[in-house]
Amino acid sequence: MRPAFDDPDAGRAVARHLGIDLHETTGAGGPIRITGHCPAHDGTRDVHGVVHSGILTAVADIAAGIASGLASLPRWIVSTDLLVARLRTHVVGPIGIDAEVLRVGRTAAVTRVRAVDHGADGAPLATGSLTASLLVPEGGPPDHPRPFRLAPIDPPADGPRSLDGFFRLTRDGPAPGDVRLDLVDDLRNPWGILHGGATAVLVAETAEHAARRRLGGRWYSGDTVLHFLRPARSGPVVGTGRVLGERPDGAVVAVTVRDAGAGDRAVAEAIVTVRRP
Amino acid sequence: MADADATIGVSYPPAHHVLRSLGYGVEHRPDLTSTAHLSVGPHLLGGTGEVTTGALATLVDATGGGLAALAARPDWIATSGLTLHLLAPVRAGAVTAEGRVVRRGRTTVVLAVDLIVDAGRPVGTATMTFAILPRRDTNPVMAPLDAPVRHEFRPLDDAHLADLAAAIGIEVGPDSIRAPMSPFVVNTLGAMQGGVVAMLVAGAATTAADRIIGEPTVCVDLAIDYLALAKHGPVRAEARVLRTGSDWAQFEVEVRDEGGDDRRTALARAVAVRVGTPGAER
Repeated sequence: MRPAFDDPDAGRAVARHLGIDLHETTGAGGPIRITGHCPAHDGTRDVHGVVHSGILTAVADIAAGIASGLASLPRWIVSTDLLVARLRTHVVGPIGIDAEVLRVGRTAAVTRVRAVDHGADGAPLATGSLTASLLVPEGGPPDHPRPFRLAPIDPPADGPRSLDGFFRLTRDGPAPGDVRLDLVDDLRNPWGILHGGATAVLVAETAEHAARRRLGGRWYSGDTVLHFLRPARSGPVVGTGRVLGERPDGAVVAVTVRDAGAGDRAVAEAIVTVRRP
Repeated sequence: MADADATIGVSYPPAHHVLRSLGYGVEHRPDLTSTAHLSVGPHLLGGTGEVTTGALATLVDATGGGLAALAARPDWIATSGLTLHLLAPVRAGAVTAEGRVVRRGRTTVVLAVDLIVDAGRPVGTATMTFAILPRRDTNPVMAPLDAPVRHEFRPLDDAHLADLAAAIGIEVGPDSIRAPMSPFVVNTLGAMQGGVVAMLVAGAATTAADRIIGEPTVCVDLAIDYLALAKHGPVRAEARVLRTGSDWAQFEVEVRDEGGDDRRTALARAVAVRVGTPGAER
């Protein structure tokens, strides 16, 4: 399908929920750079009030994806690998984000991304990288004015939805231990497929849920290696986690994400190191 | 990434090479799965008595590289990412690497490689991403497989090594770890082999973690983005601490090619844990 780049609202619901505000801050002659921030509001936090690791990964995906795309013009990109290490559990907010393109090659781009806690004297929150494949989109790339700006959209008058509510997450469905995401339009990107940030939230929640069931107690996703394999178009999208083993720094969980409405095909695979708070 | 028999038209690896010194055999199958076996010897053990993370990463890279080259044919490949998560130490016996293609797209190949011992006990899991490159005349030729093909990578002169790291020429300094570029570590693109780069990353992380924790550590997680080919050398890895726990530490590791204008050739994150920590498999 042709991406809905001409409609400024299409595929922007995830960014709107996050309240993300991004600017291009590319220096003269320097690599493409995107910086910005987003609030750590209640709709980004789990039932314990902790900012969900999937949110940090989603923010990284959005900022690094835009930076990679701008650096790849006149082509555009599709995210393939997202690696994010979470460095702190407690987040005051707002969350600062900084994405800098490291390399654009013939077929791929690599962008480094870092997040800090502006409410905690800029303490590092996460660091990671996005690898993206370059492609020639049907109808051309998005026509973003430069320098790029993604302005926040006003949140709903009654406040942001809960994390589970916005991302349509259901635990232990369809099978015990699975986490299900209903693929509503709010969770699609401008290409009409499941947003990479929503995939990241599903992966993190699946890993943490698997660790809770298998090992007991609270866990959060520390280090995430996420491979985007294919687009999820139909839904529901189901995450299945498997605890591979425990170590002094946490436990290692393998996560497979499948599009149940598209023949149950795998759309993402991830390895997540989960840690105790 | 590949070898020098009937499958491949260009001789690789050379007679004296890290892959031969590693000492492993691999079978690639038409269904694009592979199985490699590595016999544990003293040359693979670190100071903790465990097979080094670098040696396991090299096994993963070599197994995955051969498999990806088959998946990408007739084009060629370059490693763009490698992640490795270790679950338990390996001190003796043999390690089996089971590789499978997770996805073959137009521009990338994604693989998973599981490391197992003792008839199925998992000790690690890895993923690799490869960029598909238009083939050049200098690239090895990968013939299509219609039956399983086995390759053995052994030292040709029976001169088994006492220490793989020493053979590579790895030097450990107070703030960094480096290795020279040589035919012993070259890959099919004329650059430092991805597994050897992983050795440097793991070495930089454990060197820094040993100092922070005050006891021997071992690298259990690697996540490497390969950014450019390291063709000149020496190649240097420096670790910067990101986070510490009571028994572990996490680092960002930069790899630079000193002889290539000090260009950044890889960026990685690594976790090292104290050896012998109670209450866990490791």
